[in-house]
Order: sequence, then structure tokens, then C-alpha cells
Amino acid sequence: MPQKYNYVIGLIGNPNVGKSTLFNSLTGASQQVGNWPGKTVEKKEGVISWQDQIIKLVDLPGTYSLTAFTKEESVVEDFIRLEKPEAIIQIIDAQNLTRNLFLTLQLLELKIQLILAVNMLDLANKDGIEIDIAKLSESLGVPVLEINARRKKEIPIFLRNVILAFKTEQVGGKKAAVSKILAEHILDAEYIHQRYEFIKGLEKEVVKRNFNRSSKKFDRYIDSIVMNKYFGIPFFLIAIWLVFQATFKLSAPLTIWIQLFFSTLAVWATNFFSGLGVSNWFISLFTEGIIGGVGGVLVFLPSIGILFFLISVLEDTGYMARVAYIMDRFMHKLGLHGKAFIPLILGFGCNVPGIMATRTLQTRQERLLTILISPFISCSARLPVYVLFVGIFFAKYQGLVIASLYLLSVTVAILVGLVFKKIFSNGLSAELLIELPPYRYPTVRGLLLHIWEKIGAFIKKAGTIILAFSIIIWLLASLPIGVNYGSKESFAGSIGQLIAPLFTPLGFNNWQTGVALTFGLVAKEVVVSTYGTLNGVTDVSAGNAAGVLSVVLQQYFTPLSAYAFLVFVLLYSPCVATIAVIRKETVSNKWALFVVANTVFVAYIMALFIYQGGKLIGLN
Amino acid sequence: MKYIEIIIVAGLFLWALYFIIKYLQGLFKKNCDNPCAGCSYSKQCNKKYE
Repeated sequence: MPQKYNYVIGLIGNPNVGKSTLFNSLTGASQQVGNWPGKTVEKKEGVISWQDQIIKLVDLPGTYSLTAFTKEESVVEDFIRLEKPEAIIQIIDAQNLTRNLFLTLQLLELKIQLILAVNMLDLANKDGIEIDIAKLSESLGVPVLEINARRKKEIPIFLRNVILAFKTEQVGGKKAAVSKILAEHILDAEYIHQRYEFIKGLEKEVVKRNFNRSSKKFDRYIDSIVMNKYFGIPFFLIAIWLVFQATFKLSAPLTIWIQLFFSTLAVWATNFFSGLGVSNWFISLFTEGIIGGVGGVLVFLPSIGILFFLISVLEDTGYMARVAYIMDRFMHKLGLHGKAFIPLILGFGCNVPGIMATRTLQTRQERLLTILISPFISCSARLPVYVLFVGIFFAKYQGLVIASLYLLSVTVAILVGLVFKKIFSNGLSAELLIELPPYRYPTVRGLLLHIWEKIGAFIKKAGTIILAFSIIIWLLASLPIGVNYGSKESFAGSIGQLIAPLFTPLGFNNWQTGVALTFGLVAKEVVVSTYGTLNGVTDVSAGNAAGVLSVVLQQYFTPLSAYAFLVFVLLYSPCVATIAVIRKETVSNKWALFVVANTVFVAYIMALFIYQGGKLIGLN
Repeated sequence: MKYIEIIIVAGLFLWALYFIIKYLQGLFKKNCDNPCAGCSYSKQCNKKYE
């Protein structure tokens, strides 16, 4: 039965003003937030109960205007036109009043019931900007409320004020001085000029600026280093290398504890089931199949957690927005759409939201091009494979090797993008419009939320899809009856032997790798869990998990073929979730299949080049 | 005991198969009415204030 709401309210605003943060605070959701534009590309709904009122809150994608050029602008326009909300709360960044008020005027022109929520006043004050809230409200004829979306304790007061605004019918009813500018002239240059003139006048009345702008000076000083024309990219490369180096150093002791935990669990399970008098094959299901598969993946939990903690620090301080800017400059020189880098950055976490973020691009061709290159970006699911192999084959250069894989993923994405660009020849590409957030200390809550999001998703995946595949692979490795577990003669062995010869030129033609890569199509972590299940990483006799797999993998790979394998895993077909979202976003089976074929082809060529090239120059 | 072992393994196998099929079906499902469905934040987009 559809729920009845007392009010439907839309949250609107320019990108990166704190809409999602406010939405999360108001609804208790944990939608991804970030300090670059384009994180929210769909409207999200939440329900708030306030005393006897039930409010449906809709978080809309960030937009600068109501011109419906991009998909997110269309989403906003459709929401206003079709859902006819009782009110719109526009979040305004106190530090950028001019740019934010442009959208305000458009909303007022549409005679929409409007409440303004001025966010980040504390930061504006630090920069010497003081806003007379009462005067702003009086001039525009709408209620203007102060809000700090990051401070949860202020949220109930804000909500009460919003409801109060409804009850006292204060909301946007008055005719503002701007209302004569009609909505149909939204794109008319003359009206745009008039709007800015109005805003300029309004600012003179309500904004007071002091000269004490020390924080801006500090930001500019840091920016002169990290965004320098020559040092920006090298600085970014060093930062990435440091992140991976720190990830390994910090996660190593925790990883060993988890390995020992699963080894102990396997010993305990063996003793427990032996005590019950059950068969060895049944015990094998738990120790080799489930603990080997799921445990084999969960040992990488600390690496994932620490890596995303460090990336979140870079994000929350404002550095990643600068990286987007630097890369935009670089990509634009190559003739690629700078805005495409935002979906690519998102793809480092997971390719699925990365591909969804392509909706911020203006033309179908630009969207399609970015969708085609997004799967090359190294998502977090590939990290367990890297950590496993790098720990075994490149122990001295762990950070360097993993950083090289991440850089390779971006390089391949750009190169393939350039090829498609030539084919599509879609003319000029638009500049990225990105506002650099001020440098900030990350909040503990924000960091914990980011990490929990990643760790929670990883644990959930381990307990569901990876567990399910571990059971299936265990069964395939145990049947037909009478074969030795995990032998060539098993069903798993037959599948692996069928596929393995294809990889002979790439240097890894063992059947276990054939099985791991086949099931890895579902989710990349399954590559690791397959090795774990087939080899029983928690073999009790070995004392710890890494020991067994390390010995096994060193029989199959040399450092050179291991690197070629990592490159193949990095680039080959995206997981099924990504394929599904490509199909949804392009509304085409053809493009989804093309992405699979294209990524497998590129992965094969790259791995072949690395292995054969490496052999030619005498590497092993 | 042997029968119980077989039943447990068969049960786990059927669950795994069912789960994988459901998972794949879910990914390729065409229309999703709930805008929050499939998102990590969907489950708790709901809050009550006193």
C-alpha cells in the first residue's frame, strides 16, 4: 500500500554544497557523500517522521541551473514538474553565495515554495564572510535557515524550523522582486545578466566581507604546490605510492592475525567434526571449501579498510577534488572530456557507481565513451588479488607494484578512450566545472562511515556470493566420486584444463588459474577464494594460511608471469554487476557484450606484451 | 550419519545455486520502482524524530 505523506520536500542545490550530507543526517541514511560534484546522479528518497507529520524527502542531483542540459538537470526538472513537491529546500554554500543564488532566482521564478538552508556558515565566517540571514530572507521573500549539515545535533532544530515554516505558511508565498523574470526566459542572455545584476545588488546588502582571509591564503599556498603545472602529477604519483606503501605496512600484522584466526577455526572445525565421527569429505567442505574460500578473501579485510581509510583522508581533506582538476587539465590536452575523470575516480571504489556517474556528461556519445573505458579502472574487488600475488612475488616492492597497476589502469582507460574518440569523432569536449573545496580536517565520523561502507560491503559479499561460489567450486573439485579433492581429474580440473591452454602465451597455463579466472567473471574476489578453496589455504598442517597458497602459487607462476596475470585480472571482463549496469545505462545488450569482448581483448594483448616482452629482455 | 551429511551438503549446494541465480536475476532485473533499491543506503532511509 502506498504510504501517505503530509509533505513531499525536495533537497536541491549546486553540486557539492552538502545536500547528501543533510539528506543522510535527516533520514539516517548513509548515502555516499564527497567533496566533488557528481556523486549523486539519481534522486534518492527518504522518509522522516516528525511528531504527527510524515515527510518524504527527495535528495536531487546537484545542479547549477534548470536548463536540462545534462541528465541530472533533467532529473531535477522532472521532479519539480511531475511530482509537484510541497516545497523545495535549497542548500546554499555560504562561501559561494553568487553562484548559488542564480539557481535560487530560477526557482523563485517558477513560483516554487522555497526554503533556503545556508550551509557552511562557519567556514564562510573563517574566510571573513558574514551573511545577514534575516535580510536575505526579507529580500527574497522566503524563509532562510542556517544549517551545518555535518553537525547532527543541529538537525532536529533545523527540521522543526522547516515544519514551522510550513505551519505558519511562510514558505515562498511572497512575490520577490525577481518574480517578473519569467521562467521561460531561463536561457535568455539578457535575463541571465539581469539575474546576476540582482544578485550583485543583493550581495551588497546582505554580505559583509572582512580582509582577514588567512585560510584562503593557506589554501592558495598548498594549491600552488599540489596543483602546480609541472609538479601536480608527480606529487599525485608520490601520494598514491605512499598510500599503497602505508596500506601494506599497516595491514600486515592485522592480516596475520586474521590468517591465524581462520587456521585456528579450521583446526577447531576438523576436531569438532572428527569428534562427531563424520566423513573426511564432509569436513573438507567446511575447512577447504568454506573456510578456505571465504577466509581466503576475508584475510584481506585490513588491506581494504586501511586503503579506503587513506583514500577517504585524501578525499575529505579536499585533495581528491584537486586531483580531478589536475587530471581534467591532462585529459583535456589529450582531447578527452575532462568531466569523464569523475566517474573514473568513483570507479576506483566500484565500477558500478562510476558508470552511473557518467550521467553527469552531456551527450550520449560522451557518456558511452566513458562507460566503455570505466571497466578498466581498478576497483576495490581486484585489490585482494593484487595483495595476494604481490605479497608472494614482489615482497620488497609491494607498494610500487600495486601503484603501477593502478596507474596502468588509468593509462589503458585513457588510451582506449582516445581510440574510441577517434572512432566516434564527437567533436569538442566540454571543460570540467569543478569547484575546489577548501582544505579541511576530515571528521572521524566521515572517515568511519567511508570505511564501514567498504568493509561492510566486503563482508557482505564474502558471506553471500563468495560463500555460494566457494560451495559450488568445492563440489566441482570433489566430484565425480572417487577423485582426489582438487585434482586435475575433478570437474573443476576439467573446466580448468579446457581454458588453461589459452593462457599459455601469457605465462600461466595451469588449470587452477583457468578455473579462478572463469569464476572471477562473477566477482573479482572470487579469483582469490577459488585458489583458497582448491588449495585449502587453511591447511591445518601448514600453521598459517599464506604458507600453503604461497608454496602452491610459486609452482605455477614466476614473478614475470605473476605480473602478467595481475595485469590480466586488472583489465579483463568487468564483474557481472558492472556488466548489468552497463546494460541498464546504455539500454543495450550489444554495448554490454562489446565491453566484455573489448576488455578481454585488451587484457590479453597487454598481458601478452608484458610476458613476452619481459622474456625478450631477459626477465623471469 | 552419512545420510545427514549428504542432506546438509545437498542443502548447502541448493542454497548456493539458488542464491547465485537470484543474485544474477537481481542484477539484470529491468525496472526498479524503489529508487533506493539496490543501493547500500536504501535499507535505512527512514528516521523518526521525537
